[in-house]
Amino acid sequence: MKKTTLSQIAIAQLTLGASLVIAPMTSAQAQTVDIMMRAPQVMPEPNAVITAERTRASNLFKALTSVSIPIDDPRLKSMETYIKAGNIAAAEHVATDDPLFYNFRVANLAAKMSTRDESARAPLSDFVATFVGVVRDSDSTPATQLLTGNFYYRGDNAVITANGGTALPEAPMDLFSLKGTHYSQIASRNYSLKAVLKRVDGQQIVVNNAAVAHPDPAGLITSVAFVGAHAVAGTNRRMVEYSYREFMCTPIANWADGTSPDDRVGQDVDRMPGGSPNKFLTTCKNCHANMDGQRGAFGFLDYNDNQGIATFSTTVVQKMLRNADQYPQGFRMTNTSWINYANVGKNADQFGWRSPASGTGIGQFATMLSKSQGFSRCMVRRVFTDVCKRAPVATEESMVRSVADQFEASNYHMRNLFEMVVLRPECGIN
Amino acid sequence: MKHTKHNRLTLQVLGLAAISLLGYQNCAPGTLNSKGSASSASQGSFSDCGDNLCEVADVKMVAISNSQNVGTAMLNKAGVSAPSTATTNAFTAQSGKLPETGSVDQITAPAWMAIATMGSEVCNDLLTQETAANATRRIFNSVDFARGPASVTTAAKDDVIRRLARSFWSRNETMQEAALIKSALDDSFSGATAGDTRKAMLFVCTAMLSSTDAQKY
Repeated sequence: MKKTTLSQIAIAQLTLGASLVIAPMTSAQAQTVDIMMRAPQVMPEPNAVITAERTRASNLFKALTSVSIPIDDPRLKSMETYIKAGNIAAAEHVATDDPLFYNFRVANLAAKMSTRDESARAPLSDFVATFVGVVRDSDSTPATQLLTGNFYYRGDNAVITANGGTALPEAPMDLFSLKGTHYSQIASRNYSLKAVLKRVDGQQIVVNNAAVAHPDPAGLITSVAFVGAHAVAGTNRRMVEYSYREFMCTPIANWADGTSPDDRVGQDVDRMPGGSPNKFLTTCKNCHANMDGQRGAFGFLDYNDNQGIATFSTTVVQKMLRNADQYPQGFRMTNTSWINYANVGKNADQFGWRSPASGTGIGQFATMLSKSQGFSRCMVRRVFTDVCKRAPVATEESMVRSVADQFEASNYHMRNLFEMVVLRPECGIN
Repeated sequence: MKHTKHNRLTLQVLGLAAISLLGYQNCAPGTLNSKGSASSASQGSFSDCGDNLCEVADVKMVAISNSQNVGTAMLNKAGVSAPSTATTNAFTAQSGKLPETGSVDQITAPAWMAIATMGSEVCNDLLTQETAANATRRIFNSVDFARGPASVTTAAKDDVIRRLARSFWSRNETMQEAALIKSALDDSFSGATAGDTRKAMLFVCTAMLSSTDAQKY
C-alpha cells in the first residue's frame, strides 16, 4: 500500500508556507494516499527543550483535533516553526489538515447533530460523511450548502482500491438506506475520512430498489440519517423541531411564541384539552403555531422504517392528516406550502431572518434557515462548545455574533471557523 | 507474554493507585485545577515544593478523552501502529463505560477502570513492538528485558519515565513524579526474574498512560 510518510508531510507543509489552500480532492489526485488511520511511531527526544511555542502547538493541535500526540511529533515541530515565525494560521492548518481533525473533531460534532439522542456515538452515516466532506472542501463549499446542497458524500472506491483496500458496497440499498453497510464499513475499516470521501452531485432516494433523483433535496435535512431519525412515524413535526434544534441551536421551548397566529395548527391538535380551551391558548399554541406553520414543507416526506429509506410522495402523506376528528375546523394540509410565524419579537432577533417568510417544500425551508443569522451563530456555538470544552455563556453573546459575522464574511468557510474559534481569548487555549 | 487474570488485576490496582497519586487532585465538577506551570515543570526543575507533588492554582476548562477518541489517543501517544486483537477487543468491551462527551463530571470509577484496562493492552502492544527481534526501541532503550528488574538502573528508569512523559503527557516529568514512580516500581518489582522486568515496564507504562494528565486535553 502506497503511503505518504510523516516526514514528507512535514516537508510539504513547511514549503507550502502560510497560504495553504486545500482544493477538493478528485479521484485522480487522491490515488496515492494513506487511506488508513495510523498511529505514527514518534521518537522521543529526552534532552530536547520544550519551548513555549511547542507547548502552544501541542495545545492547539489537541484543541483542534481532540487527540493528544507526543510532544516530539514532527507535526508539532512544524507548528512550532510556524508559531515562532508569527504565522499562527499556517500552524493551525497543520492541525486542520490532519486526518485526526476530520475523523474525530469534525465527525464527532456532526454525529451529535445526526440522530435524535444527539450522541457522539452515533454511527457514521451520509449525514456525518457529508458534514465532514463539506468541512474538508471548505475552500469551494460554503457551509450554507449543508442545508441547501444537492449532493452527498460517500466512500470513493477508486481511491480505496487504488491504495490496497477492498471496494465498499454501493448498491442503492447500501448507500441510501439506514440498513445499508456502505458507511458502517468505512468506520469499521478505520479509514481516513479525509482520504476516502468523495462528493457525489445529486441526492438520491430508493424507489422500487432503484436509485432516483431526490425530488426536493435540502442538504443534511434530506439525508437518510436525519430523515430516519425524525420522520419515522409521527407527524413530521420533529423534522421542523430538530431542524431548528440542530441547525439553529434552538430547542422548541426557546422559539415558542403565544402571539403567533394559529391558523396553520393541524386538525389533530385538540383545542379543548381537559375540557378547557385555556390550556391550548396558553401552552399548546405557543409551540404548535410556529411549528405547524412550517410543517407543510415536509408534507410529501415519509420514512419506511422496515427498509430504512426515505420516501417521497406527490401528494400529502397520510400521517400528516391523521386524527382529523380532533378539531375538524383546524388546518388541513393540501400541499407543501409553509409559513414562518417565528419572525417577530425575540425570534426576529435571535434568528435574524433574511429570507421570505413563506415558501414551498423542504428546499425553500432549508434555504430560509441557511440564510439566517441564526444558522451562522449556531455553527459558531457548536464549534466553540466542542473546541473550547464549554458552551458560550450569555455574556459572550456579542462574541458569538461577532465571530458569526466573520464566518459569513469568509463565505461560510467551516474549517476557518474552527481556526478562528480556537484563537479566541474566551476559548482559553494557549 | 500471557497475562493471567491475577497479574492484570494487580497491574490495574497498582495503576489506579498511581493514577490517584499522579493526577486527579482537588477536582471540582466541570473544571480541574490544571498544573498551570506545566511549561516550567517541563524542565524537571520544580523544586520549590520539596518532596511533595506541586500544584499551581490555575483553573481553566479541561476535558478528558471521550469514548470516541480515547483509544486512538492512546495508540497515537504510544506509537502502536498495529493494535493487537486483544487491544481492539478491549476497546470494544470498555467503550460503554467511557465518558461520552469527555466532560470531567462524567469521570467515574468504572470509567477509570476502563481507561486503565485499555491502557494496559496498549502498553502490552508497545512492549511487544519494542521487544521484537531487530526492533527500533523508542521508549525502553535502556532496559535489558533478559535480566530482572534489579538490573534496571536508576538512569535507565529515569530515561524510560522521561520518554513516556514526553509521549503521554506532552511534557517532561517533575522530579517529584519521577521519584514517586520509581518508588512504586522498587516497592512492587524487586524480583530477579527476567519476566518481572516486562511486568515492571508494563506497570509504569500503564500508570502513566492511564493517568489524568494523559487523558485530559
